Amino acid sequence: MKLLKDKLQIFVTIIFVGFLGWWISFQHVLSAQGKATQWFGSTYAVMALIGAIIGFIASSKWGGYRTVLGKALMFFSLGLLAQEAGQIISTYYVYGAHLTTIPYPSWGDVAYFGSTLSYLSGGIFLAKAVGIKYSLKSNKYKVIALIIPVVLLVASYWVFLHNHQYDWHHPITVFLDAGYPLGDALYISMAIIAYLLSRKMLGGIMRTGILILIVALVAQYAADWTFLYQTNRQTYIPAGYDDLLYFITYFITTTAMIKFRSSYKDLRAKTSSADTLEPKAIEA
Amino acid sequence: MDVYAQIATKIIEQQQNIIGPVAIEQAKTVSGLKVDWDKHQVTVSGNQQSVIDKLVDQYKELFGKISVEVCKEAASKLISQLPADKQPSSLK
Repeated sequence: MKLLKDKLQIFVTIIFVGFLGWWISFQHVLSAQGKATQWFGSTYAVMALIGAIIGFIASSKWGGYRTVLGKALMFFSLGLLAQEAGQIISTYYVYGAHLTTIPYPSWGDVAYFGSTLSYLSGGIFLAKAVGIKYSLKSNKYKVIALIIPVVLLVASYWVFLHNHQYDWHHPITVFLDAGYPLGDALYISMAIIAYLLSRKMLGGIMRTGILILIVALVAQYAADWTFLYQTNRQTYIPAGYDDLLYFITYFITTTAMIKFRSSYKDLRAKTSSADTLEPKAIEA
Repeated sequence: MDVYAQIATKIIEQQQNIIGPVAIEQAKTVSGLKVDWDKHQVTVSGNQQSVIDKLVDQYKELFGKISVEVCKEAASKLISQLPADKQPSSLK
């Protein structure tokens, strides 16, 4: 509930509700792909940009690139920023270069695949921050940490790459065809491992932010998975359910970043009040 | 530097690796602990076992039991230098 009183959270929630209302308003004419759908598809990643800015600020408060938590937040922010960059590049191809189909691979893929790598790096540092190495002393958790990525990699391979026709004349296309689903499987594995191996020990004021971040990674995976599935089967519709899922993911990740920022502020306020109270306590 | 001061220093260092300067600020709020991190000097006064326990509790507020494990690991090489009855209970 405290999170809802945060002014930044209120601001971000208003933007979320506004975009959600807008998305609902054109769903009955989605197939026509009119101006509203085009504008929505080109602008909703502004939520990712907001999240990235707040995330970089939160990261710097928690030590930035010098600390484990700072690095985790920095990589998640880079992931968000890359999502926004990907949307801007795609928009340029459609409205700037007037292409009917976005090329594959394109500069947009540098951003989107960069985002996958950033989320994977963020997941690794998040797992370090929640101390999974202490849980890994147990054989049970060692097995869990091994099984989860193996199962998800095999499942991703089976759904997206089994019987896939690779274009061996274009090595980058082959790399991306395999890299997207396998990269996604790896970052979601890190998120699930981080959760399962820390859930009994994780507490304190950081618990909420970390759990929201793990939920955000699950949502990002759901969005990426749906996008890959739909594009593989040519059923993807711009500004449809999958874009809404991406938008919700950006909102959840932004909320996590706000939580890390507010946790820092609360802690500083508590420390300052303790400093102020101490001399009085001595006088008393 | 006595063993308790060394333990406190190691704990603060380890926490600093995870959360940055906040770790030093948190340590400075623990009564009985004097921290001059620019000189890397830490002094533990009064009931030293209790001061270390309070330092561990301070970090526990951030990540819960995970923070305690981080503190235990940081102090693991030094704690054996203390007799069992002089070891801080939070690090056993």
